[in-house]
Amino acid sequence: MSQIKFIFTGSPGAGKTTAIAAISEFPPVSTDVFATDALVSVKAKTTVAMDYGEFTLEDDQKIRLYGTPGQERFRFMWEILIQGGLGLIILIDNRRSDPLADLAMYLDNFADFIRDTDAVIGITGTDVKDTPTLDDFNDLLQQRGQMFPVFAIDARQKDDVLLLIDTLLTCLEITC
Amino acid sequence: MSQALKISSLHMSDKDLPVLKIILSLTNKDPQISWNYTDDAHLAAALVIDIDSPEGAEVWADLAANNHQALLIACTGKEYSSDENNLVLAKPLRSRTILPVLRQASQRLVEDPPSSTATASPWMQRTLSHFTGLSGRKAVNSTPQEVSIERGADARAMSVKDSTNPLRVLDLFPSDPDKALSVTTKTSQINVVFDRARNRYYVQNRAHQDISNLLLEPASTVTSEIIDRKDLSRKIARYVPLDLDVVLWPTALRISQGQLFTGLSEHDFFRLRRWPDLKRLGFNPLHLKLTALLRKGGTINYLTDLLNASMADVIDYINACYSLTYLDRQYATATPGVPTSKPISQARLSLFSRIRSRLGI
Repeated sequence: MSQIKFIFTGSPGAGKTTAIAAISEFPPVSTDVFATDALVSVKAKTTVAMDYGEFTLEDDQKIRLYGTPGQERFRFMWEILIQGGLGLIILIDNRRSDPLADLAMYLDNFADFIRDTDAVIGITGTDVKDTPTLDDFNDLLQQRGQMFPVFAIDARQKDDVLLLIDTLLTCLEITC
Repeated sequence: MSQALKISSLHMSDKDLPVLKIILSLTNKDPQISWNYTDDAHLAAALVIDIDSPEGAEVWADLAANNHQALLIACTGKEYSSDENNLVLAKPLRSRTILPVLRQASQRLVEDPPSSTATASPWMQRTLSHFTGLSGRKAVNSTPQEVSIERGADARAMSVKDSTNPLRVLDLFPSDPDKALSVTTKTSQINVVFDRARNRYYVQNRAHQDISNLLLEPASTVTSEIIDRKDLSRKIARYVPLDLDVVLWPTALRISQGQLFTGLSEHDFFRLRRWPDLKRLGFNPLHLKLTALLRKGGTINYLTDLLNASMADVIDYINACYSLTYLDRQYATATPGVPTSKPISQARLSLFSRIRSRLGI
């Protein structure tokens, strides 16, 4: 039986592991290693293979939550993890140097998957750095001829993660 | 190679017409006969007429009695037997009812083609013109119409059509995105600058937050000035910038009252250009669904029918998006097609419902 899963991707340090933890029944199983690159200034550890969490429906059906490694050098894992995914949750860390380029990179790399499913975008760290604004992200999408839901979120807040899931499900229901 | 036949309709309900069009599109891959819908009844080889409406029954009686050029198909939810020249399509419309009728129609048209389906007789033209003029909502054109596309909303006239309402401050917004509106109240001399293209308004004092009421004030209570963008930065140098969408959105919902703002038509085909930030603007499950649907676009009737929502709620939402200039619209007397989507399976819907239930959404 195929797995039913949501895929969380996005820039390193954007809060993918935290978002999964917010709705998983157990603390995410992570494949983190100590960061040795520029990322060390943002977080001590970084995901190199995947994060994994899950929750169980009434009929014991498991819903898997996979977090991809954020760094592009691990993109070979992206191809593996998205197989059979319901949809994509992209988290972008606004504190990074070029969040708009980050978003464009994920949209490009997951283009085929998004075309077959759908995506929702959460921008984190807007309380620390308020530019680019959500309007800027929407302008980028508009320039690319795309339209996805974009929200400023705090990945630690369960309600924010649920908003992303609810919006993604609605998109899948309505436009799939 | 597939032969294409044209089909049109008269007096079909807003619920039935999209169904008919979607099912017609299923014939596109038919290797022998495909059906293309046309809004111009004069060009149609077959004409579906809803005879359950008084106007439809009247036009049916006239066309059926006068040996017209097109093959007539009576669409009805009642028991009805037509003469052998015509066909009957039973309601409710389903693919299993429509496709056999289309097959019969194509068989007749191929075996016994009308002498002219491209040019109707003068009598038919008169009859069609007369009856389609009565329907109002679904005017049929004697010539194909260009569908024009308006990028963004006309910035003016965000009020509903009501001659008793005086012009309000929000009606003063310039349509040119390179211009901003400066408004100063005559009584308290409070100045606010609105830059809708940048989604900002600027105030001298952050404490003055009653912008929503200011927008609804009669225009006569303020002095206004249109400012070029190049002069804007000087004007607002000491002002506080604030987000305009969080003011415009609820204001539009407040004044909408289920009536389209001036300049919008219920026949328009709307499509969203960007996703309204419903987290900030106020989350509403219906608005979320409408937003998802309007990524592909649709008419008000299409949205209302699909979501089983009240037309007033849909119109309120359309008005709110319009106020933020998030809407593209196509307007024409020709009815643009509704978007088609793969129907989502019940199993998938059930899964999503269970996920929501489990997560407490």
